[in-house]
Amino acid sequence: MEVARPRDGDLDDADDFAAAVEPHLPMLARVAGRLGPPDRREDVLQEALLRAWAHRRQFDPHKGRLLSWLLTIVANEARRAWGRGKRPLPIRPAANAGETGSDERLDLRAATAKLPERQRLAVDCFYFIGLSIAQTAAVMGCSEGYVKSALSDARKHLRLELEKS
Amino acid sequence: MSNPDENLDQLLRASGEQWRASEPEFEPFSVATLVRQRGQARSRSFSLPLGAAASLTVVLFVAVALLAIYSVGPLGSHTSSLASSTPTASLLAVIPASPTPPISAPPSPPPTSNPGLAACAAIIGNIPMVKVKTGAPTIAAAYEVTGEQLAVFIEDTFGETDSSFRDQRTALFDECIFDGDFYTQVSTPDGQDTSARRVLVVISGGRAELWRQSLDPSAIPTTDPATFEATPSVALTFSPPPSSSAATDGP
Repeated sequence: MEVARPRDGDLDDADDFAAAVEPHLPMLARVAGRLGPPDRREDVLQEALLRAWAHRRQFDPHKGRLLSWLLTIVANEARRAWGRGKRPLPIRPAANAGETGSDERLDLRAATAKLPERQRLAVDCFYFIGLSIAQTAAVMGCSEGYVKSALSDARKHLRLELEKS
Repeated sequence: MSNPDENLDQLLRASGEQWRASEPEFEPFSVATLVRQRGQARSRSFSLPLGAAASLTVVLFVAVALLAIYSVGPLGSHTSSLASSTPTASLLAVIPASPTPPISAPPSPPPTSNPGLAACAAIIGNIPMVKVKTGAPTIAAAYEVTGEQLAVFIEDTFGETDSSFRDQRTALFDECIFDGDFYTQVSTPDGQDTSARRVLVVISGGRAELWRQSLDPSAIPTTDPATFEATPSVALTFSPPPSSSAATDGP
């Protein structure tokens, strides 16, 4: 059954804003959890939502989807949370670092940490958070083609690193 | 024989799934309550970031001090000039120009003598991932910059960090900003390419790469990265990607 949802542009009222945003919360939480500092997922998410609310009139549904806009804000807030926007987005150690039981994956984690930041961000968004190419492009503020190219470069880097190890 | 790139892709996907499964479960909360309780307080006491607030305070302090000096005048010549517009004009001169270009700032004229110009001019007929819709593109700005300068420019302009530039602090790049009536080769769901009025291309080691595109030229400032200074970010840096309308709810 199709559930009637407010259009993306109807954000003026708190209830409308909430109704538009809440379906995206799990995905936004994942972005906050992956890109933000450890154990600050909820803080990052809430701060980002307050920013989105404060700037809701800047959202233009004709320019992009609400989710893309929110993803950008959450990613910015995660960056800010690491150190007011000037520090790179580090790869957060996986919560299950000791549970993989796979040398290959441990090597992969180490290799991923050595990637140039933009490639690492693309890998984080696409492979770990599970964003689409378009959503990854929204977070990175670049074209889909650039994301594909960054992912391809990242895989090349990773392959070389894994071969070394 | 298996393709190593595919194997790596699968390994990354598997790692991603494992990470997602390991994430603590998300407890949904009421966004309406959040924005009602904290959003109202935030909008009443919205504050600038600390650095910006400090800078503003210093500027205001200097402005008030200078206003006082101008209104009193030099020692012994006590002519009031409070109604005069001159002091205000003088004060404006001491307030540092905003690093953010005005919305309607015209593109700065193309530099006539810089090494980046030749590199940018060389690709004007073949800008990567860009098709010219009508007319001919022009160079709004062209600079040869170091990795460090480019990293600062990108961070401060777009709020993004890119250590690949920062890691090559002294390496030279060409930064090209082209104006024109463009299609960028990023398709929307209906297959239409996206329009752009300004594009930013970075040439690195002979390889040109489209870095940013925008319908709004002021979104890509023509400021020389060599003079770009780090400033605290106050605005949200959302700039919908050309294909954001193609966004799906994830893989």
